[in-house]
Amino acid sequence: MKTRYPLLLIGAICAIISVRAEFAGAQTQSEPPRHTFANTPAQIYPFFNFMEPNYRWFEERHPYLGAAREYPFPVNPEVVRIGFIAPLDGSSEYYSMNGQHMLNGALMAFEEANRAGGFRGIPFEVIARNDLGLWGASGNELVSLDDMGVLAAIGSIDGNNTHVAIRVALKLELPMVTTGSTDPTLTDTRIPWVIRTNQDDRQFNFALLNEAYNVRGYTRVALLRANNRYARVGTREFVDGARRLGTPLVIRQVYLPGERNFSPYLEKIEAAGAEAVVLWGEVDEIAEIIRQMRESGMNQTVFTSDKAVSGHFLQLAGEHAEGVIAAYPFHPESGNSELEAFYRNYREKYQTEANSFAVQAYDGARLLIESIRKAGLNRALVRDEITSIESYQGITGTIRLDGSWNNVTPAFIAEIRNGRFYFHQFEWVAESDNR
Amino acid sequence: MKSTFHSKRVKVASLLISLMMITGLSDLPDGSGTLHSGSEKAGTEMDSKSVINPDSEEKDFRFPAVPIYGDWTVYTMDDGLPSNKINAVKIDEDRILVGTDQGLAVLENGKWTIYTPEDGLAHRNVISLDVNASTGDVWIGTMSGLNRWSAGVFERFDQFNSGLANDVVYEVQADERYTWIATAAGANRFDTYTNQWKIFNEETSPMHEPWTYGITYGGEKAWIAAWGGGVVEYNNETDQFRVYRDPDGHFQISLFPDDGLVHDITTGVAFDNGVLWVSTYFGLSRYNGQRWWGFFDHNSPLTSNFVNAVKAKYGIGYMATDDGLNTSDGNVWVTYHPAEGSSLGETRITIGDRQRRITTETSISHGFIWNMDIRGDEIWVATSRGLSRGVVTGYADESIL
Repeated sequence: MKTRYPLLLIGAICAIISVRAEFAGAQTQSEPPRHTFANTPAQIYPFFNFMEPNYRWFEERHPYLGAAREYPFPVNPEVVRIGFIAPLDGSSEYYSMNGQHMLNGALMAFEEANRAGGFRGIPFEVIARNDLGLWGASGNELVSLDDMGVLAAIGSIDGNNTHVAIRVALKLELPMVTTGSTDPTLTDTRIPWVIRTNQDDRQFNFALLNEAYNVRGYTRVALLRANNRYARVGTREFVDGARRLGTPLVIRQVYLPGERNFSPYLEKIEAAGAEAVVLWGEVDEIAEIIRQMRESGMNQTVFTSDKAVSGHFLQLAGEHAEGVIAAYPFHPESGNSELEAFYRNYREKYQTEANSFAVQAYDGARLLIESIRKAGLNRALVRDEITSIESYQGITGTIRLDGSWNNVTPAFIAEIRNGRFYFHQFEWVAESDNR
Repeated sequence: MKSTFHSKRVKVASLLISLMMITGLSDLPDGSGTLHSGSEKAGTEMDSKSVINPDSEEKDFRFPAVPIYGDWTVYTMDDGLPSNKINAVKIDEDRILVGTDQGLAVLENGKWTIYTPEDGLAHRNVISLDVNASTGDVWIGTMSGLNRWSAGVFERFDQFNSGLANDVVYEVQADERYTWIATAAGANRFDTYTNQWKIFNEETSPMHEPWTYGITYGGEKAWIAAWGGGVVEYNNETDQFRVYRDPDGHFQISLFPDDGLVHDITTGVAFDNGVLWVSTYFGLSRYNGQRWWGFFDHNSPLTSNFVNAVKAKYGIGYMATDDGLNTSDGNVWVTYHPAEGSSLGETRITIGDRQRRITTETSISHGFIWNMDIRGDEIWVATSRGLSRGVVTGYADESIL
């Protein structure tokens, strides 16, 4: 009798394995459960090929349950103060330049609003603070803005600083609109006081994954990125997505920020037989890597971030920029009349061309202004307005917010041909013939 | 949708219970647990031997079961508080220290005294508090700097005059020698004997992200709730680290319920009787050194996954959620919430798959809980609208169900 039990056990295990295999097979062929988080294509949702997770976060928006809605409106305020934090002055020329563009764009929206009567005749006043200074300065600056009685805040660009700021916003119960940070983890935090109106690096990664694997059919892609937080979290979705598509990256290389000789990394990438290379870092680093690639005879297609979509990059990379493919949040030459008017007004006012930070800050500020006009001068009510938005029509196009209040509008692919950028909005190719 | 349904359910239940109370049909515990005006007792009667004398509090004391708090007293601005938004509370011998967004309030001999930046407070917005039991020094974490309040003097620490990692001080915990601090951009250990600062961030420790929210200590160890980085355990004797992360590694899912830390977005840590409790905005974790348990509002009596803070004492975990106060030993749960649409309170007791809801005549002042402190048989609760004090009125055991 005893000998029968092990046999029965083995039989049972085999049966379970067989059923499990069938179940897994059936699951991968069926339609995925509906989800909203990041508008993630089913093929690259975590563990989708293996099992349904115990719980999916962000399918519902988390409500605010505190008492802040009860706070009375200020009596006879002279102005409605709005906080603004961004890198405005500091060691990084790239960040401070974009921070200034972001401020300019936001200011244009508030100035327009003031010309249209502000908030029920009370003008808006934007108080700007620099977060590119002391370590974790954004938190301190937001506290200082809270001391000045701001109703809401806009900011910032750097992922680290914006993370610090949004946590402070949560404690202060201060609604915040992020218009410039592409750090995907920002809105993964379930803070019911913060929305992001620009697309993040996760959306950029989706667009690049689709272009590299589904559209162009590459199977051997390499990654070379900076060894910093921006590039680490900025490429994570690409790394994971490539693996989930069944084509993991052939090699991953990490350089130290400030390095100028990239040949040791490039030699390894070439030796790995890469057909395409994803580059993630600062714009001058990307331009230099491409130059060194081309001069050493490496002709792999280059995919990179939105940072490369600028005249500055074209200038730095010169002829080597040809064929580079980048992700970008919107179509800057869409012909949208409001967008064109914004460009004109911006040029006239600031004597320079608006970049994506300016345009997206303008959209985010307009969304905030409309929310304040609906809600009134109570932070929690303003929060209720901004976090109830499903979609908003901006000059960049439709801003669609998911369950984490993140803009999940599909990003654009920008390809450089003959020294010009050509844009098209990406659409995920579910089952590509190219694969 | 879920919260609407939940609200309706609570409303209906409250209505029914209230009706039953009026008509005398309520399923109330008999004897010691009889619920009547003025007593609000429920569950097993509190044995006088189990009442803790705070003056002779034993380190390893454990409640015999999860206590049931009642007889709630509420304090608001009407009573002398400078604000109804209460961020932190600390029981300090015979006085109560209260951190509000408009200053530090101290309740002593029935009288409130308010301290503001004019008195030396680093910032009006006080968000964390602790007392060094050996020296009596009060440590005050604010939105803009840290104070040591000693002998009537507020000493200020900030990024410019000390090794404080950041001026936003989310948590401060003082043991006999060290003061442990969690800031918006790194954690600290301040040695009060030598005045030396040690900083824990992504460069000096295996901290995946440098933003810290909570910190606690126990024995030779300290634990840091690193927001986005899980929990960093630091051994104060060996200077070594250990990191606990969500095993599935993804913010958007929970792959398995009990596979480890429920999420990397941690908001607080508490250690007591060999058990580590970790709060997150995605549920609660409990770790006994061998096994992790995950608690969510969809698979346990936890009233909300959004857990602002956690404390642990006498073998019980206390969770400040945005939708009620929760207490548990890991098996039995007692949760507290104001009854919707009335001044009554609702206490829910859950043992296994059985639950009992009791309507109480007094209540915590608001369901959004920022923090709490426990000493002896009393609990003080910091809420979004007012401060509440409750006392142990019984224990949650089988007799109550």
